[in-house]
Amino acid sequence: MKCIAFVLPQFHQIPENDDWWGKGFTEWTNVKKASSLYPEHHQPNQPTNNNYYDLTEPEVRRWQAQIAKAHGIHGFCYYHYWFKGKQLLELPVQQILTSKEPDFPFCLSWANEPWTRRWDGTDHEVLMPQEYGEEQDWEIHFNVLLKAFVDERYIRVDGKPVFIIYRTSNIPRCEEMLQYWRKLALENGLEGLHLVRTLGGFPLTEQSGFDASLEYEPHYTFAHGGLNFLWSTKQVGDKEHSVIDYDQIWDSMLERTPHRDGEIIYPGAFVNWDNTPRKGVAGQSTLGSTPQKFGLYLSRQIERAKKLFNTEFIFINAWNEWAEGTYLEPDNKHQYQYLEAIKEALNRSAQ
Amino acid sequence: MKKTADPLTPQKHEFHLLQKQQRVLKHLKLLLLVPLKINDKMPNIRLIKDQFQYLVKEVLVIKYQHKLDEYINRFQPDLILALGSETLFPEENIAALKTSTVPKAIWMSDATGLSIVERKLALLFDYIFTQSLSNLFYYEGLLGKQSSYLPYVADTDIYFPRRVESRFKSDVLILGNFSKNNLLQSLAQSQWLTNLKVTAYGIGVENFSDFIVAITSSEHLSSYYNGTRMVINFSGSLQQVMEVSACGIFQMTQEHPNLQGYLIPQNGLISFSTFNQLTDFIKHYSSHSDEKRLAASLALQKNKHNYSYMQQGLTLLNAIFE
Repeated sequence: MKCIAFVLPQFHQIPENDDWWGKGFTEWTNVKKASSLYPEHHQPNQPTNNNYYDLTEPEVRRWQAQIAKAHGIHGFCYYHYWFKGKQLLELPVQQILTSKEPDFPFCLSWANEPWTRRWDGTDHEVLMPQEYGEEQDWEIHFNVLLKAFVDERYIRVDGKPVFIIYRTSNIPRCEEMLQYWRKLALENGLEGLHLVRTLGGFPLTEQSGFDASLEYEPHYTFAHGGLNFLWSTKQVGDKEHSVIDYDQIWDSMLERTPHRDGEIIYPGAFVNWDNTPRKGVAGQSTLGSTPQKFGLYLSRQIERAKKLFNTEFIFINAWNEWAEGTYLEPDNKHQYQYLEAIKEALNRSAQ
Repeated sequence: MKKTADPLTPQKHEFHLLQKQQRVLKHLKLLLLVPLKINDKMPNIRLIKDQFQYLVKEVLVIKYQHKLDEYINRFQPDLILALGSETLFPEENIAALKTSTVPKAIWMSDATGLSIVERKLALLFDYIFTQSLSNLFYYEGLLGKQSSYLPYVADTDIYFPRRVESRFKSDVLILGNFSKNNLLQSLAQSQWLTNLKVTAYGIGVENFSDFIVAITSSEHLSSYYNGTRMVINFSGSLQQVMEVSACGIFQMTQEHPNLQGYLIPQNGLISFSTFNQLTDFIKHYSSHSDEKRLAASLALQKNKHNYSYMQQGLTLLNAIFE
């Protein structure tokens, strides 16, 4: 079983974020200022040894790959931010490509939402709009991606580089674009492309042109799990804060049929969910998450992936989404327990 | 010690027909009679034995052909339950059944009609459990018998969700009798299935073989279920509905008396009674894959929780004992 963890290539300063959020802004800015909203709510989450790293430093990426590998994670899936010719947060992946370090499998997921002040891709106060252009723009985009696709570390299915797109229904001529890219892939000596659409927390229209779908959790279950009693509230001062039952989400994920519309589906997993570092009381947090439960649930999802989904991949949200409370990296509270849970789950499934 | 020493065991055969016996289920010993051979109609005996063992004290499974009176004397059962209804018992066992005072039940495999064998078997048992509501009317007419509609559940050793080879894949899989069902014929002749890969399992499908791939054997039915994007079920067979649900596949079912009381919420099992309803649903669910998935997931879960052999076994035992 190949567990792939999503990686947020933030955690370094960029001019755009300096402009939008203030000089020196990184993801750590929000993580550090988070506070506990109710007794069971653990914030701020702190990386062990005050490891508020800068992701543009090679030794940080080396360390990430080293501990991921040591705990059985197959590879990383880096978010790729492309806005019709403009890239953001591209430096870590560029450095990985040029330095050939770390020696660890990876792939890309095009997080094709506009950037907004609300952090959620909705069109309120757009900081960076998302446009898709025509064939000429698609080709420019493909040529940027090609540098990664040809890398020998790049994750492939049947020899074809895996490329994930987050919000596919936002792309006006999506199927044509995918066909165009497949043609370019062959022209550039690749065996093709393995194109994956994300099943996320947004409306999912019927779309063809993809080789597989990927369950992006917990968002897919939030939106499409049909759970009537998942959400509740906690009174925080004079405001209500949304609270989610951790186990209900996992129960729903683990009871779901593997069938959707006949396509290959890569099941998902998530560590936790708490976006209060970004949104404060207006955010959401979970009740009931522990590394032990995560490990048990992941074990079952691995079994399902093998027996029901007949797939070799599980996508875990996430490696380092500290501001969304879903991260595997060691922190002061749990140390390496989430990573150890993955290792144990993989070991159990291998027995 | 002879079991008849138990004061709660009725001494008179007629007694339990008039009144349920007051027994703690977990104290009961169940003698299960099964045929030598199994076929498509038969339930999964391993599953039944396994699940009944959660409900009663002890389950012993023997063949129809074993010497029944010997087992009755040695095992001292509180209930004799025969499974299936395709073969008669040896004469000596018919005599043993007739003379035994132990309550006797048969769980018929009579989904496809009512055979002479089934009519004969029905006379030998106090309690008759049937797969068919239409057969129930016949059994209810038999004097001194108590009969109930109690379908076998999906065999989860066979019917479970999984990905299958591409040869089993289809856009739509139709279940039902093409010769007798007007609604099904209307669908088959309509434009709704144009450009779709359609497979079908049922009587008369060969007349539509120009554009429907007929599934000729039930051998790989669970793979065909797992390979389709949508099942349209005209069969009226609750067991078939449950088998599709157990595969985690979205299905729409034609309304049928057999399906009344089936404990799956409306949003898990989409039912239709008219052609317009059906086509509206086809149109809607063809473009709402995640609603389809949600419905199939709900049916899968409810089917698992409401239609296990433990659940059916409890219903069966509660029909006999209090």
